[in-house]
This record gives sequence, structure tokens and C-alpha cells, in this order.
Amino acid sequence: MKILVLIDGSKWSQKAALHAIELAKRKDAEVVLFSVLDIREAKAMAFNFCAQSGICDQLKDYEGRIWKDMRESIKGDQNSILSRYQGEKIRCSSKIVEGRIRDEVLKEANSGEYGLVVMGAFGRSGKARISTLLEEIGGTVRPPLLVVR
Amino acid sequence: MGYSSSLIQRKFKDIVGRRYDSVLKEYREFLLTEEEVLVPEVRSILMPLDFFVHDITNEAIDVLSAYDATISLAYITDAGVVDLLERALNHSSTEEFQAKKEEYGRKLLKRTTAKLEEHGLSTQTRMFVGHKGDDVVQMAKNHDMVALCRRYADGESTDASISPIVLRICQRVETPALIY
Amino acid sequence: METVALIAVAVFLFTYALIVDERIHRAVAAMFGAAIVVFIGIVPWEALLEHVDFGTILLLMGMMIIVNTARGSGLFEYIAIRTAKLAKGSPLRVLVLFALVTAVVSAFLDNVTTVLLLTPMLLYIAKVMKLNPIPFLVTEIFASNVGGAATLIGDPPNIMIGSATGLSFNEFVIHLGPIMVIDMAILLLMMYLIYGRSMKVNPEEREEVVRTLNSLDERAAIVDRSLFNKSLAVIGFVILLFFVHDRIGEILHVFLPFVDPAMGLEPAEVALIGAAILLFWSRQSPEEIFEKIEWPALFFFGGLFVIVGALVETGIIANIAAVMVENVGSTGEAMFIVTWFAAIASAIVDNIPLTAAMIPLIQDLGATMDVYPLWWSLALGACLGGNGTAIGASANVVVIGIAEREGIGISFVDFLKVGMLVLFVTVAVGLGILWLKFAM
Repeated sequence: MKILVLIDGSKWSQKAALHAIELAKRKDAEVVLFSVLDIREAKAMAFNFCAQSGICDQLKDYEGRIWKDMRESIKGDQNSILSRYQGEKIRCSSKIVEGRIRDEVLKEANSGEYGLVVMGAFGRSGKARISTLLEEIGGTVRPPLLVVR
Repeated sequence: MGYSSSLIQRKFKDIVGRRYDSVLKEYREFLLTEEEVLVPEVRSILMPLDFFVHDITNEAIDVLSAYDATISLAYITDAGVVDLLERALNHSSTEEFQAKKEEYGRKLLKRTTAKLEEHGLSTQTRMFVGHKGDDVVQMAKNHDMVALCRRYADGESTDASISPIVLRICQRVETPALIY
Repeated sequence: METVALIAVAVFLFTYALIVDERIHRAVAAMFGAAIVVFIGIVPWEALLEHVDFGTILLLMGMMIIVNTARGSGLFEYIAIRTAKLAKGSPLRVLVLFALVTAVVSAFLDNVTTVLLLTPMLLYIAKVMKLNPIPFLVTEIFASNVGGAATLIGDPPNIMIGSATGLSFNEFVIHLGPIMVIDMAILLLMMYLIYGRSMKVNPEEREEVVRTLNSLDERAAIVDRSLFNKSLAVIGFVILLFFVHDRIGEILHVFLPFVDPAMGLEPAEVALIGAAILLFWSRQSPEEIFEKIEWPALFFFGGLFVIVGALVETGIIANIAAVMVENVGSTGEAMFIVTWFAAIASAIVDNIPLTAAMIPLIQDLGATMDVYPLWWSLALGACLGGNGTAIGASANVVVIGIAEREGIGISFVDFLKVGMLVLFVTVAVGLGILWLKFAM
């Protein structure tokens, strides 16, 4: 079996990964850590920053920096989780793609390779609201979906 | 010894007041505590069923079999619908409806139990009239996981969305949820 | 002695006793003492305005606003997690890194807030490493007091001295900075010698520790990214301004010709300018931020100034100064007395009321001798004296209080043993350096 773990950098996705380790150990499964980066998120953050601060002449520059930060930070997250998997001797790989989060997740999850998708119950905005992604993919993702908290 | 210790206590209170409590709360929000690093043992899984759940997929069973857990199947008939029928029609048609539903439920439970046990999972069943959302959230408190069909409590809608009740349950339970 | 003088001394001693005991909140004790001397007319209104050092109070207020605004962004938690990760699971590195971070942060921001926010993380790491947390906690306490002594804004005694004397931020950095760097090195060496042996983690456990610490997410600590950046920018700007506060006019004059090149800013003005910029830029709710200003601390200072003012008004301070002048031969001798008196006294009573009383005394000495070196002696003694006992400085009380709440007992006597050793070594080294500078 192959397990797809959705990593968005939140504490909850870390917990999802921990849960997936347990499952992978029992089912002798392979794990793929999967993250999607959406350039529009960087655009929105840059725009909000400049709208709040009023420093807009370097908008493009901010966007580039935020985009770079986003890539590095998600890579860092995946690596720290990967090191945990190595300690447990589980086959695990990571994958980072760019695009619209919902579309990319569905494309990957529904590729027919996976027997389970694992994700956190909440996103980066914390416990305030249920993960938006869950609402978006809950109906159309074909493998069973494990929502961890 | 006693004096110096209570002196430090008093001074601490006077210097810091309630600030330390708020600091602790802030830390708890984002620190993965030791307890959280341990994945909680899953010993019992609640699996609500209703008229709209036709089958459990093999993939879902495959995942469930990873846990050494007892699966509690619960067939729930919506109390609201029963109430509505009672008011709109008459008592005998309501009873007829309930009897039919019960028969359907028994069959579904039997079929599901058989399928799960075939894969070596132990089960227990119950059937009742209640609220499909609130009652599941309530019952989930005594279980380590809930397994929900994405069509549960949805009506026969044809679009590929997830049932809003399932989302609501996901939001409110404290346990992991498997959606299949 | 006249009756009023007797009353002033009685109020002073009574208030000190209340402050040490703290059964009544120290702010209330100070206000009550002040109320007595004001009520019976020892300190009239005009004198009150003169004795209450608004430079100190406004500087504290400005820094409190900045720190409390920055806190909301998760800045301190971010620093704590980054430090924890940098240590890579080695107990010794945890000890050294946290000590250095605590010292540097305490040098620029207030000690209580620093240790209040770093201690939970330190406890967490000690728990993960399954080590006794006490060595880490006491080192953090010492580091916060040593670090705080290095700058004008680091510790309340320095703030009070700076405000009363007009000494510049750079003078503090030049005269006290190097001493504190050396003291810090000595402190770490001492801690290593005392506790080093008990801080061992075997390699497998270490891997586990690294993994647990790596799973902490410092970015999750940042509650508000934009506020985080703005806070960093403003704190950086304020620190920069402190370095040039006494010659800001020269710099501004280059860009704005109408600015008087001789113009300088008081440290309090710098802090309030920073507070204004941060509040304006971040759009944080002023109600919430102002609510977080530690008003009890400010009233504590205000009350103390009035009580000590009563001693000045009644001539007590002048009399003590006269006795000192008669018996002290040289500047070096005066430095020795002031340093050790301040150090030992601030280990027993909180160093804030002690400094409040010492400042007018040294000012009076100024009539007959060069008191410039004495200010550094006072700062050295009052700040480092805080290390001596569990109640010597606010940071000690806060760390020990937190530890106690988490079930870790650091007894008064245990702390005293290590604290007094640290006090004597660090103060002796500091005094030696000052001596070479000013008395040779």
C-alpha cells in the first residue's frame, strides 16, 4: 500500500505525518509526503503586506522573497519529517509541486497509486476553522481520507 | 525554608501576576507536546451507517485492519424524519416506515459485519432513532476514531461533494476521522 | 535628628521591610510610604515633581509598549525555538546558547519579560533531554542579570542611573559592555565546572532529542508575520537610535538642515518614539497594548522616588555623604565601597530601591570628588548583586517561581551557594577592570 500525506507546514500536518508513520509500520506501507505551493498565496501575502504597510514600491520583490521563503520552509518541514521516517526505517519520499492546491492534490491522490490519503484536521490558521482543503477534496478524493487531529 | 519559599511565591505573584498563565497558553498553541508526539492507540472505531451508506470500500477496510480495534457499527434513523412522518401522515404509516427502515438497517448491519469479520475485524452493532450529527459526535467521545462514509446523512445528491453532516462531524469530534 | 528626618527614615525603613516581605504588593507599599511623606509635607509638590524621575518612568513605559506589542507577534517564542534547534541536542550547547540569547535579549529588552518567555522553552528542552533543569535555569538567571548590566536600558538600576546622570547609552556600552562580556565568559566556565558532569545525554537519546526539537515549528510561533517583521524593524531602529541618541542632531542636521546639530534625545524619548512608530505602523489596538503596560512597576518606581526624595529633603542623604567624604581617602576607595555595598545590599533587598537611594547619595558626593567612576561602580554592584540570592532581582524570582509551579524546587539556600559565588567572582572581576581604568 502507498500512503499520501498532505503537508502544509502546520502543526496538524505534522501530526498527520506521525499518524501515517504508525500506519505505515503496521501495513508495511510506503509513504509519500506531498506539498503544493501556490504562487497566488505569495502574491496575496505580498499584497496584504504592502496594503498594510503602505510600502508598495517593492511589491514584486516581496513576492519573490515570500515565494522563496515558502519553498524553503516547506522543504524544511518535509526534511524534518523525513528524518523521523528514516529513524523508523520506513520507505518514504517527498514531493513538492506548484499549482492550485485543490487540483494538484486531487490529481496526485486520484492517480490510482494510493490506498490512503492522510491530512490534518486544521490548516495553518490553526483551530479557528476546519481545513478548507478538506471541504474542497472530501467529496472527490477517491482513496479513503484520514483526517488527523 | 518555609518563609523563603512562600516569600518567593508572593514576589512571583506580585511581579508576574497572571502573565505567566497567558504565556503558557501561547506556548501550548504551537508546541507539539510530548503527549501529542505519541500517536494515540486506536482500540475502538465508531462507524455510523444509514440509508445512504451502501457499502464499505475495500480500501477503507484495508486501512481499518491496520488498527487492532473493535468496530462499533451504529445504524441511525433520523428522528426528524420520523417526527415529520408522524405529523404529516399517520401513526401506522410511521410505524411501517420504521419497520422497513429497521429491516433495511438489520440487513445492512449484517452485510457489513460479515464483510468486516471476513477481514478479521471484530465488530459490535446497535440501531437507534436519533440525530445523525449530534449523536455521532456524542458517541465519538467513547471511541478512538470515527469512520464516515462521505455519503452519510446526505440524501441522494448526485454531485461529487462531501456530505455537510460528515464535515460537521469532522469539525466537532476530538478523534481522527476516516472518510471513505 | 529632627522629627521630620526621623519620620522620613522610619518611612524609608518601613517601606523597605514591606518590599522585602512583599505581603503587600511592592507598588502599594511604595505608594503608601510616599503618601505618608507627602501628607505630612516632607515632600511638597514642587519637590515631588523634581524627585520623581520621569526619565526612568517614561523609558520603562516606552520599552514596555514596544515589548508588549512585539510579544503579540510570537517573536520571543520564535527566538526560543530557533535557539533550541541550534543546540542540536547537546546539553552544553543548550546551556551556552540559551545563556547567550538571554544575555543579549536582556541587554536590550526587559529581563522579566525575557526570562518569562524563555523559561518555558528551557524547561521543555530539559524535559525532552531527561536532564535536571536546575543548571539551565540558574544559568539563565545569571545570564539575564549579567546581560542586563551591559547597557543603559538593560536593567532598571542602569535606567535609573542613566536618567539621573545623563550618561549616554554609549558610555554604558563602553564602560560596562566589555566587563559583562568577560563576566559572561567566566560565568559560563563556572557553570560548566559546577554542572558540566551532570549534563550528559547518550547518542541514541540525543538523536531522539534532536528529532523532537526539530519537530517544533518556529514559524508556527509567529502569530502575525507582518507584526513580527515590523517589531523586529522597530526594535532594531530603537537600538540604533540608542547608540546615537546623544548626537542625533548632528546626523539629522545633514538631512534636515533646520535641526540643531547640538540636539540630543533622552533615552526615554527614544523609547517613546519607538513605541509611537510601532503602534502607528502595526495598527495594534492601543487599548490592549496600554493595558499590558506594567503599571504596578511604574507606580513602584514613582513611590520609591518620593520616599527617597524625603530623605534628600530632610538632609539625611547629605549627612551620610558628608560622613563618607570624611572617611574615604581616594576615588579608588570610594569605588570599592560603593561596588561592594551595592552588590551585597542588592542581593538582600531588591536592587531597584537600593539604586533609588544610592543615586542622590553619589550625587551629593559629587560636590567634593569625581563621581564619574562611582556610577559604574554602582551599576556594576546593583546589577550583578542581584545574582546573590533568590530574591536579589526580579528575574530570579520569576524563574524560580515558574520552576516551582512546574514542580521543580530551587531552594533559597541552594541558590544562595551558587549565587554568592557568582556574585563575588563577577563583581570582583568587574571592579578590577574599573579599578584599572579609573583608579590606577
